[in-house]
Amino acid sequence: MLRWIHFEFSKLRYYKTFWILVSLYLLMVLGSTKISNFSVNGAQAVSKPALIFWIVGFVSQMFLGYLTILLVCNEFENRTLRQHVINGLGRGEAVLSKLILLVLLSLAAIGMVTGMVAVITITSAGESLPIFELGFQSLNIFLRTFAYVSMAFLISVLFRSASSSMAVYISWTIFAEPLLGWLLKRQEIWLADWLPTEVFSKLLATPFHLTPAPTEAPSSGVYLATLGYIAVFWLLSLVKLERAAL
Amino acid sequence: MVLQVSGLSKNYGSLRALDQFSLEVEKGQVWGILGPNGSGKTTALGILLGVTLASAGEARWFGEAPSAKLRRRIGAILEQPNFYPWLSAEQNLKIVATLRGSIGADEIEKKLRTVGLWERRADPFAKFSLGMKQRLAFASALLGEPEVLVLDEPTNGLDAQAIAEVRETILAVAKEGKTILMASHILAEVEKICSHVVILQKGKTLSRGTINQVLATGNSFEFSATAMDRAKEVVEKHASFRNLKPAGDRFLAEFESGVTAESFNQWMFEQGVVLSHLSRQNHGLETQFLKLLEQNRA
Repeated sequence: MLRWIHFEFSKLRYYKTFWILVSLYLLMVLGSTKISNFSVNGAQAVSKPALIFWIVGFVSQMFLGYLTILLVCNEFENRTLRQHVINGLGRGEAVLSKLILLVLLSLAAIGMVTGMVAVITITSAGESLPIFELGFQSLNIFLRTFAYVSMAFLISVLFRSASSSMAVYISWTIFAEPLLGWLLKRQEIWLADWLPTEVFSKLLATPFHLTPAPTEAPSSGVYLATLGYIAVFWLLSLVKLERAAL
Repeated sequence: MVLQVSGLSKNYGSLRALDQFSLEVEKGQVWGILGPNGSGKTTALGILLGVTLASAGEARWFGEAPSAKLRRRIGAILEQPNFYPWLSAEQNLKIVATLRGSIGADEIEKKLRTVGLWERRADPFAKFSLGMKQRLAFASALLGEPEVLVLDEPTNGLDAQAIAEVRETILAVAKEGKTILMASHILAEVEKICSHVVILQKGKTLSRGTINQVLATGNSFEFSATAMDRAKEVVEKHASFRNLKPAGDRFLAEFESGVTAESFNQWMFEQGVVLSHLSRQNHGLETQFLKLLEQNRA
């Protein structure tokens, strides 16, 4: 496993775009702490930790999704994946090394936010989030982020070009799936509630209903469906890579 | 046996890019794969290197089914050099070294010096000229002392001096007993480097064997006889006769394929002509290559 981590991080160390995206992510996350508590008619409507989690959830979904697309499509566009396979990298190993990298990046991104919220919880009176709640929220946001990353990985493997993959990723998550969900709901088809991003969004409730922190956990069905989607995305990517000319 | 290929075929839709390609490569042999653009050279090498999937047939490296582990024993350049543009030459080779395993910084330095890129090791790949990129690819292929080198147009983009240097390096590697498969357009280069050659056109194998065997497949015979006029008449009656030219005090006769020196001598004898000299003519590789392509086109 260390070999694959070393293999992937040696590519990233000097990749400027990666560091620019990471810096932007940090700026946005740090910026989220500066947002004051929302209040409605003078009453607190949402706690700061919950708001940070909500903002970070969206930021992670977009930034880590784009980063995944860049990292994977780079390998196709520069034909480095092809060269690695020639040099002795198995196609399964290619998927495994990216899986490890993306798990680590997602963990790092979420870990940082968890730490930040923990500090706010400790230092700010009245905005406390129980440690169990903090861990629970972190797990949810990690699962949600990694689910989006996994979807971005599959899209990149299918389309290979960064611009096409970005277009498909944005179109699907922002337009196509909500439209499909709306159409299915109109027909009262149960699938509407179980489309990928619909399921992932249930992992992170909007903070505006939460005072001071989320109280209702997502159902076990949501977890199972998320894990199922993650598994399907990676399996489909593996099958596609195993059968594709490079 | 280093490589055994049998009946390898590749279809792209209705196009047959490679048709029943077979090859047996022993340790230490240097094979040249020749053919015009679109003849199936890169397709064949792509299948052997695991990046193109075959429609039919089988290839075995070192007696085993191809695998990623076996490919680590092969150094290869396929088409253009592929590296991370933002990384330097040295950093790119370090990534290759991570894949191949147990390759130290000293070996990376040695290979960069071999291809003349040590002074430019810190420059990003994106800033390299085509020739420098090709040399880096060559250094990458040599990394880890692979048992086999597979080179697709290794001198592509190089100037005359660099071509000579790459040729010398390939010859030096071949002298170490390593096996080499090399696709090239430069026939003179192949003739100088290779012990064996396979010629492809439109995916089909036109000729295969040692350089001498391939050069001798033209079915031209130089002969002389005590009665030259009579010999000329007789030769022109041969069922496979194609052409006859005087060559000094001898004749140069060309036949369809299938006529051997023995069968020609026997036939002349049966017609009452005793040959005083008979030798099969070897053409240069370029002549033979063009001739085979022409015959196949016809």
